[in-house]
Amino acid sequence: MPLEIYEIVAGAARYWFLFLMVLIVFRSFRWYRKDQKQQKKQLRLMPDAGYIGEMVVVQGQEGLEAGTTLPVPWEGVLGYTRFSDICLPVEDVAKKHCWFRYEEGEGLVLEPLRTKSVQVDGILCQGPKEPAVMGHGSWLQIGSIVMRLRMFSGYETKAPQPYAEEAPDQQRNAQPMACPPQGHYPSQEQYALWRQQMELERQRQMLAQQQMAWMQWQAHQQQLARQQAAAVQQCSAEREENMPEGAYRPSSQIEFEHEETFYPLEMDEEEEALQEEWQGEEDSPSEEELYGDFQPCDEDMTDAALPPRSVYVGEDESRRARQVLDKYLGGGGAK
Amino acid sequence: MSRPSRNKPLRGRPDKRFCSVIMLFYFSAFLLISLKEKVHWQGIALSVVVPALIYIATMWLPRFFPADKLLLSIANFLCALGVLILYSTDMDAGTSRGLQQAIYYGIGIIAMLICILVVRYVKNWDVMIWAVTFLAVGLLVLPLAIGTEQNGATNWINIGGTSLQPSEVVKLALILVLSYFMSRRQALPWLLFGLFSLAVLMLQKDLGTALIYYFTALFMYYGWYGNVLMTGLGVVGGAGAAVAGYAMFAHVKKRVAIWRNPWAYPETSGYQIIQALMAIASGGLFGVGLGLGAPRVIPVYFTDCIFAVICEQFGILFGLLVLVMYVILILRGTSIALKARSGFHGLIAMGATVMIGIQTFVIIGGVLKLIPLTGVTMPFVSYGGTSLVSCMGLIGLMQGVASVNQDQLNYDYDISMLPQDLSGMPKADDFGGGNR
Repeated sequence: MPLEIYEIVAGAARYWFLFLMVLIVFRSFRWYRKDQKQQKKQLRLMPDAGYIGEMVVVQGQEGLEAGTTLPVPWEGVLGYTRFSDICLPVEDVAKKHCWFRYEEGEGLVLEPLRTKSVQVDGILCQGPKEPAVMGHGSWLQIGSIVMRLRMFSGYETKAPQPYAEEAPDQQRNAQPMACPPQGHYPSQEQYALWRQQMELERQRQMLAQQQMAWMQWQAHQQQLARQQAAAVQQCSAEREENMPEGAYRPSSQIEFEHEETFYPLEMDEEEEALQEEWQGEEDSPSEEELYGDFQPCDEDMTDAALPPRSVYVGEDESRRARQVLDKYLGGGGAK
Repeated sequence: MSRPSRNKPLRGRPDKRFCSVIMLFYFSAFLLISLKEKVHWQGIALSVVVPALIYIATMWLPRFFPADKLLLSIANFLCALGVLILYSTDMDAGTSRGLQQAIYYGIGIIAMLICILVVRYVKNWDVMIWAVTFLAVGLLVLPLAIGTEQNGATNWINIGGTSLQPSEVVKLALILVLSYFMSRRQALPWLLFGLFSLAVLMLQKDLGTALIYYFTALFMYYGWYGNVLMTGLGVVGGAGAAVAGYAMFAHVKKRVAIWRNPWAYPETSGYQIIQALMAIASGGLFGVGLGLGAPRVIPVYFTDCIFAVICEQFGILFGLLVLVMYVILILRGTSIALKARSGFHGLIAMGATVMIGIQTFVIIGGVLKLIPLTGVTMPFVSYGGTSLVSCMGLIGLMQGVASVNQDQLNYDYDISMLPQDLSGMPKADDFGGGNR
């Protein structure tokens, strides 16, 4: 192409290039905005996304009442300012009290800042050189604030037991906590065992009540039957006395066409096994062996130690749910 | 009742439409330039190869590894713009910078892939970070021993006939080292590394890179610690160092004098900036046309002053839109950093974004005479293998963080039991344009 013609074509093409460039910028900006909106939309549907669990305040103060839940992100700072990732607006907590981060497979690692201290599962950790690891159900005390970590399903890690067991006595329970009142803090297993035993005890009491009610009812029925038989016998005797001689005399025995039978509430095999296990007290461990120093406390009104109750469920459960959807509801669980 | 699939593509596919416009732009641009005076078969080949490369890099590569397509598209667009400008200016001169830049672009994509894999799959950085630190220290001091001087700075080394600028590669290491130690709250290692890097760069008289290093570290410090007082002290310290540099180095004094009044040295040291400003002015709003004008009059037009060439050929409006593309890239990088769940990943994304942003500001501000001109390159566009590979590496770091974010979001999506019939619910994979 001759240079003169090229200059004309290039002069005209610059508007074309400018138009394309405007289009490119417009589309990229639109794409960026669209993604931002979609992210907001998805985060509204998954409000727990980005959080690994929540801190449940077991013992609080004014401004941070017991029962309050504070979401825990992957990493951040715990302090009293509202810029903190976990904000505890109370006097006992410093402006920046400790750093925390979630380590996969390990748990929530807490690093108190210099001169600051926290108690995790009863062990005093002071300064950044002494990081503490929290798992699902671990206790955290800062001053008079007592909290419990509840991790979301899919992120939960066990509370590190040896950590609490191996701690020296003088370190353990440096400041006794109000709840639980005695002994070192219950481990996750102890707490779960205690709840299981409580459930068994509840079931045993319920069965005993049912049995007692059935026996009372049965005794009452027998008494009624006896009274009825006596009344019938008395009536028969009177009639017999008053009847003329030679008249028809029916048998004194009253025969019922249908005899109703009453049974106690039936127990299934599992309940029977549980009851037998419970009744075999000689083989079962003693309370001391079961609980250690831990005394179950009714003051913990929260459900901090219960399994996670967020929108998340275990991965297996999620997969099974999708399989059910696929099989019976015409799909929907496709990944 | 159906649960939307994670892998179902977005409605309307913005990535495809965006990519098609970019491909059309480069196809028509290379076709036009190849018809100048005579038919240039190389240009015609490039009109096919460059759009094909863009398509492969934007649409195909994310099928094999997770990537933020918008970020990738913008980086590809800017890289291809560099190839186009260099090819158009070098056609008459008989040089092959355009083709070389295209090869560097390919190497840059490989570097980006490596950075993505490193960020994505390296879980234990405790040992690796020390290896990176010592490697970076070694690379930094290498020019002091075997370096050559170019434009007043001793920051180049020659290995097997190829020139390398180690301070460009160390940019990636700087971000990794600072991110790791800051996120672990170990102040001493990153402070020592940062001060050592600055000292070495000052010895090499590479002040532009030192400026980028310093402000990147300062931004990352503020982003992580949020300490306004210390950040303010850092700014004051930087200003003090600039004054000290002005007093110590003669070439800094000269550059400041040129910046204040380039017209006092029209034939000598002020010639470059005057020609750059005249090129921008002669281009006007719409430019003189692709392949036209006199870009080669500007000294080192292919690195320092390439923005002036863009403005001359395509116009000031086009130049402004290129700046908007950089702004969108920075916004996207910031968004990735904010979405990161761990401090380490957030700092990596933020550091890479800030570094690209500062570098862009320093060079374009220098060309427009807003600040003294320093010898840094325009990210993705300027000629230079090390610079381009380093910038693509920075994009790779951002992409790596974006892919980690995506994985975590997908995990949350997988373990959540959301209501099944959510029409219009965004899919996890659609974030960041990540239709895999």
